[in-house]
Amino acid sequence: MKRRRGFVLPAVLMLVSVLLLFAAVRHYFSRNQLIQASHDANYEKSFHLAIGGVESADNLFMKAVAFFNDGRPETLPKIAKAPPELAPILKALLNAEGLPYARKERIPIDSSMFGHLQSSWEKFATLKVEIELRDIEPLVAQSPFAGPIPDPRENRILMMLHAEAVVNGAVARVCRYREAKLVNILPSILGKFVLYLRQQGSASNNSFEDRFSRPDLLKDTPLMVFSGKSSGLSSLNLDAAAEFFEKQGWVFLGGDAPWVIGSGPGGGNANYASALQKNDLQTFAIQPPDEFSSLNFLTYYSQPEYLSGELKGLSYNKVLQGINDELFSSRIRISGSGNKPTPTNVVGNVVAKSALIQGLKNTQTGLYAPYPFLQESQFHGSSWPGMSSEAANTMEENFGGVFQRYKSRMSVVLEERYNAINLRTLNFPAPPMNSAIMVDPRNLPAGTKVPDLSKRLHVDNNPASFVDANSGNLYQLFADDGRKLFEGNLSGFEDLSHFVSKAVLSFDKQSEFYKSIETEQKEHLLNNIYLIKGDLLVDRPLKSADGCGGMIIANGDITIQNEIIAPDQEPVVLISTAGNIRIATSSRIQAGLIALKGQIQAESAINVEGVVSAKELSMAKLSSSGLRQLSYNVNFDVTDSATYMRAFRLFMPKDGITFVK
Amino acid sequence: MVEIVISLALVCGAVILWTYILSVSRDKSNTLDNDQVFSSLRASLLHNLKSDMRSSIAIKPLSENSWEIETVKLDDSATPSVKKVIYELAADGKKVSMSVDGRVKTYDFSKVLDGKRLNFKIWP
Repeated sequence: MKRRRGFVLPAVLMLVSVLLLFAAVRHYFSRNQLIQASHDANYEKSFHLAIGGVESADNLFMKAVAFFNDGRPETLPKIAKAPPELAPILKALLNAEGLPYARKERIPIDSSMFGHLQSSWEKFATLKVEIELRDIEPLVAQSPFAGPIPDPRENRILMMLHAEAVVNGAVARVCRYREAKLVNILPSILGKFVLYLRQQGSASNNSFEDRFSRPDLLKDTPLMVFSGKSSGLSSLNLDAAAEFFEKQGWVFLGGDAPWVIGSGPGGGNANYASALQKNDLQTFAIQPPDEFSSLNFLTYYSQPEYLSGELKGLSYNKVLQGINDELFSSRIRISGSGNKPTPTNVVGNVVAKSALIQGLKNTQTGLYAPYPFLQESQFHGSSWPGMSSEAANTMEENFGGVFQRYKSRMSVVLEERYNAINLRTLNFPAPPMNSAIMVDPRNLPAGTKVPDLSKRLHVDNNPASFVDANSGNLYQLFADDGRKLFEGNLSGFEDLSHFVSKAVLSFDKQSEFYKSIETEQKEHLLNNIYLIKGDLLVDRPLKSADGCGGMIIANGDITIQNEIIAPDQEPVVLISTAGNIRIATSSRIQAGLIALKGQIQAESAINVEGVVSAKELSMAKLSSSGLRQLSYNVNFDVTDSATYMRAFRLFMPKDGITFVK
Repeated sequence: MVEIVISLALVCGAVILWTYILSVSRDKSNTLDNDQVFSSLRASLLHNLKSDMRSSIAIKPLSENSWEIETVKLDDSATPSVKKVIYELAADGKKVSMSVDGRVKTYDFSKVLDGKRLNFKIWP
């Protein structure tokens, strides 16, 4: 039998070695500690993976917000026009109207970046990123008082990005949030009016001493108000007229006293002359019982004319010398200029004033004998202005000594409801409307077709007319989609607190404001809604770019000494809630200017492309070398639903707040 | 026979050595347990502190041994809200307390420090 030797000793040696190893390990290490260390390491990995997910999602999110805020029409509809990388996140953000909206569930976000992040980490790593939008409250509460009606879509929204990462079983959850404001940067119904003045100032508006020639002799420069598209005399198709007027920038001139808008020749310069002033001469056959009816070479004539003090002078045969009032014209020329008429809908108690020169024409000699304005007592005397006593007696005999017959043929100053001048823009196909000098819109010839009534403005519960006065106590404004925007008295609208509710960034001093909008290129770029608790001096150029726009709201006065440049589709609005806005620059101001509790003061030549709304407008006297111009930017039109939707912006702080859940 | 004797001798020697190591190990076992407790407490404290600091919007010292961290947490309605968390090292240097909304959680290292003091500081 073979002996088995050497088996026990190695076995014992091995056993002893193992026992000693265990004892040593037991001495130095703890299993729990190892597990804890491993878990901590995995948690750190998962935390950083989650942070990476949030960062990359946030990057996409901010690009998506910038795309949403881009007001250019070519970026609409947003989801369809979105770059491929932004389409998923915009689909998660926007509803059918194209606006961000809150919902109960979180929306997963997918991005190739997430896969890349995961593959860079452990094999057993997962990353999930979701976005959550939650309504906090409407920006502007519904008010029981008359005034602008808040849009419930303007909202405070909580935007949250959730990231959850798992690495080898260790879970890290990270969240980044911002409180955003979904706001419309248009200045509510004020955006519909190129000029909105709640009342007349202490100085009369109708005080411009105009001349028929020599503009260099003028002592002042009127404010030329261009309301949108241009259309001259007899050029508007009747079927398209209502739509034309609906889309123009309207003018509101408030207060109890009527506004008189005298038509002026602008020194013979069509850039300064009032718009839509007919000036063509019409002749009328003389009918019995007037004595001159037997003389077939004589006719009566009528010629509409601008107002000028020269009509009282010798050069115009003192034809209106008998008018007691000065023949001044308006310092504000609404409806554009002579060479660029922009007819519009004027709201308020507004009267157009012009002259009508009438008299006798000799068709053989081409000579005119204007009939001067007379009181009845003068008519019966022989001292008619601009005429010899013999001629005066002859004229009196022509009318049989009956003043009423002369009165209808004498030169006069005419007043009519301002919107009636819009009738002159219409292309009437036949007499009497196509040759009428002045027509009372309340007494039109039978069968006369006029533009449809307004769908966007009701006055005292009746649709407004574009050819008649629109003055009342209750004004209602509607958008073209039927949404009611305003109900109340426009003259009483002065509370701008609803704009303050939209503010996203607030500053105690203007220096802080300028610091916040300064770019690396040392430009000052507006792209938010700013509130400055004090005065604001615009002493450097302010700019807006595509995807920007916004508002500057100051509690105090605003002084503008430098240009404000903004693309048409990116409206910029400057609002003084309680003070005045002083314009002391002739540089371009592409902005809306609003001071409903104060004045807008034009100290110099001005060139505003936007809207102007104030309690009063004050203009310093300005030599004729300057040009005062206010042009409507149709991108302010809140009653146009497409324009309005383009003006929604999602404003939020640049940096979100990140926390670990 | 010689092999058996040598093996027995080795086994006896191993048992004696094992018994000695165990006795020494048991002697140090308390230290090991203390290390484990310390490590566990430290890990828990650091986890909370890291979370609070990573979620912080402001950190300020209240005294030489206490710090206030304004940190963002989700409230009951799952809405982010700012809470003030105060971390304080006890005067004896053996406890760290964390208080938020009146609730206090204390990390008690007194039994595991063997007379030493914690070196606990937050640099904002």
